[in-house]
Amino acid sequence: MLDFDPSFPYHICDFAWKLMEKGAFKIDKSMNDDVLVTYHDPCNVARAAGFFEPPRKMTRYMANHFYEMHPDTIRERTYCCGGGGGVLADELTDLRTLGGRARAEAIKNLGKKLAREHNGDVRKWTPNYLCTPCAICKASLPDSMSRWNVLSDWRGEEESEVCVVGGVHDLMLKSIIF
Amino acid sequence: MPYYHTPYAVPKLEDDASRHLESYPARISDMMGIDLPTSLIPNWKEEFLKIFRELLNHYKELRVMLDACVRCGNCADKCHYFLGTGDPKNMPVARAELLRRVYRRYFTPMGKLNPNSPDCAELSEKLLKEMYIYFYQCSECRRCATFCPYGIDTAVITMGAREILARIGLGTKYVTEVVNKVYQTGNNLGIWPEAWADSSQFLEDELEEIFPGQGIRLPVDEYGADILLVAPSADNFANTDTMMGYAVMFHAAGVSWTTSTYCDEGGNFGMFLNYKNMRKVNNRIIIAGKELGVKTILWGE
Amino acid sequence: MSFAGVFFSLLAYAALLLFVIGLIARIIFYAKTPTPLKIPITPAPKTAFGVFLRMLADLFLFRRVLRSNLWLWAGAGIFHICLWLVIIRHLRYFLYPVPDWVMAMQDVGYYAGYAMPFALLFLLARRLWYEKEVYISTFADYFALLLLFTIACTGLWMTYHGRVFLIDVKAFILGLYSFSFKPPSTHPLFIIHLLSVFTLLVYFPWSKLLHAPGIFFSPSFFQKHNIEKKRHINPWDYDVEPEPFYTLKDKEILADLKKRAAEMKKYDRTK
Ligand code: SF4
Ligand code: SF4
Repeated sequence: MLDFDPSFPYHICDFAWKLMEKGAFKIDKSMNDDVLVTYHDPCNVARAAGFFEPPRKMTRYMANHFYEMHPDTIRERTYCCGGGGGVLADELTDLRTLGGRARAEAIKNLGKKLAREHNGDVRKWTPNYLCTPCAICKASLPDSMSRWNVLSDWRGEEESEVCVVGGVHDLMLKSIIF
Repeated sequence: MPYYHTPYAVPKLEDDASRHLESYPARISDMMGIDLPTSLIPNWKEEFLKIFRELLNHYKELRVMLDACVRCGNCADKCHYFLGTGDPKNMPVARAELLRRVYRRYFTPMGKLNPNSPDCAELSEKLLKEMYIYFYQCSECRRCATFCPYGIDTAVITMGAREILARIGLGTKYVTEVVNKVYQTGNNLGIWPEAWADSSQFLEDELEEIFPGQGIRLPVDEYGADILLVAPSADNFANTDTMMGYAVMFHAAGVSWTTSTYCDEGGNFGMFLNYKNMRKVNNRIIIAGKELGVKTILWGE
Repeated sequence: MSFAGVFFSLLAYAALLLFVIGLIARIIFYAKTPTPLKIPITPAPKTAFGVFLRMLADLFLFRRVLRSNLWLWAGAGIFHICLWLVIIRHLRYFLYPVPDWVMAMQDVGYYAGYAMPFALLFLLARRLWYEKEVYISTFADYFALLLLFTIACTGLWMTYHGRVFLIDVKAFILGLYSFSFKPPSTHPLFIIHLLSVFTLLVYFPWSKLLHAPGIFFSPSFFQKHNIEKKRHINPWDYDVEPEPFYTLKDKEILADLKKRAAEMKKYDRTK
């Protein structure tokens, strides 16, 4: 199964996608129907390493509801989560939530766009799962999400929930069947 | 502007809007642990210029990027910190200009002929303070570089400036603490190896509950595995779903893998400080890979 | 041989020399400095040919400006195109006999000459109009714009409305080749034009005008994205001394590490 060049370090999503492509995993997509997913490119993975496709393809493979944000806010033009470069420090929470505003608003804009397309409610169509393969984004973005009120009714519960920030493999954990 | 989209309106300029957002200074123990001066050294001016010259001779990118900027303002509204705070010094070009003014003053004939020109800046405590604040407000994300017609990468300039600042004794508490923790425990969170193993065990038990009878494992320090996984340490503690996701994936793929307690961290905070520490942190991964005899190394999410 | 002839000829030699030496020194500097980091802007081409194509797009189409700032793209684009056309038009004063293709370009250069000052004014207005631009503009930016504006305007005025003896101009320039120190035309417009051009030549290698050669040396542009194929080696890398490797079973090393960490903490308390 391993046909990788052994001397070179790979990203785990690259590894997983190459196997997934060949159908190595049994995935039950419907397990991820409770999330409306959008993908946030981490600066290091996307812009620095030029690694855009595999995590996206993985997400699309595992979730039925996957939508992209505006092209000026993803891929090499992605916004930083606001916590990179050592700004993740507690005393700078204000700064990094301000920096994360761009991403938060981009998600809300996606919600508006999807609502227009589906003739639905904006809250209903705001993504409730922001998929991102970066630990710093996962630590930093939740603060921004709650500060800028990225609320979603996708699950249809009584109270709107704040958009969750999680990884690609989280979806795998939820949807894989043995 | 017709082509470019920002998620929300670009804010009005507001001087010093984020000046108060200053990182705490580094702790003495951390600076000692990572081999840097513990506080601002007395002859910092000479040292500043000495390191600056060394960097200019070592980094082509720094030299070109300090020279080539035309202040077209293309990068200005691309920085998320500027969009967020409206502080003009958070525009990438203005941020770089902090260092560029010093460069012009001491390293170009213009500055030597006319040191008082408005484009040059004498090194002073005030300027140093500003550098400390605004260069530690850059996340080195390189978004600005994507839009600059000359590929001027403010992250490179930030890295240069931080290298100088760190080596004259100005580090931030958070970054130095993290790097020091890597040297002590192998990861950014300061998790000791035993705790790492415990946590992996705990996640294994969780997985046993979710997928009974599968025997999904999270191996730690296993010699001769095919893959060394270098995941962010937060995956083992905060984003545990992700860590379990890896385990499930490897299990389904049927490959042998391991984590190493010597280096269980994918993020390199040395980069946010200076080159030597960056190299040292990265070196750990190679050592771990060699010692454990793995075939390949995978980065975690 | 007149005083004016010697004076302006010597100035011309000095300016040219400073320009050439400055530029070559700069380029040698750039070429010699190593690139320790791999920092191409992704998505980056994987081959040298791809890099070349991308460079062409950035040089001639200003691709990066186009996708973020249409006004700037138009202004800067028109200015740079005009600049080249006008330079080509000027070849007629420098070459003898004048090649046909230069003559063929004369008309185009004529219109470009008119467009250039407007493009420059537009770029200047942009700097004065937007709050952000005002903040980031430095003295050097205005200086470069005004210098170019002076050159363009005097040139234009001279060509179409002043009475400058082109014979004199050409004699002066061709005289430079043979060190015969011919006097230039003494029309004031021409003198201003000439002196501004000298200033520009001297100013070029030490200023932001270096963006022209700089773009070829910008590592984020010329590097290939081939990290999978070839490991990037830092030529001046430090030798770092690694900490001893340990696994869970190396109890002594772990105990030692813990002791050291606790000892270090003491320094903070005594602070
Ligand atoms: S886009 Fe590049 S050239 Fe323009 S101001 Fe920013 S750094 Fe300077
Ligand atoms: S690299 Fe720094 S200056 Fe450039 S966009 Fe990112 S945070 Fe802003």
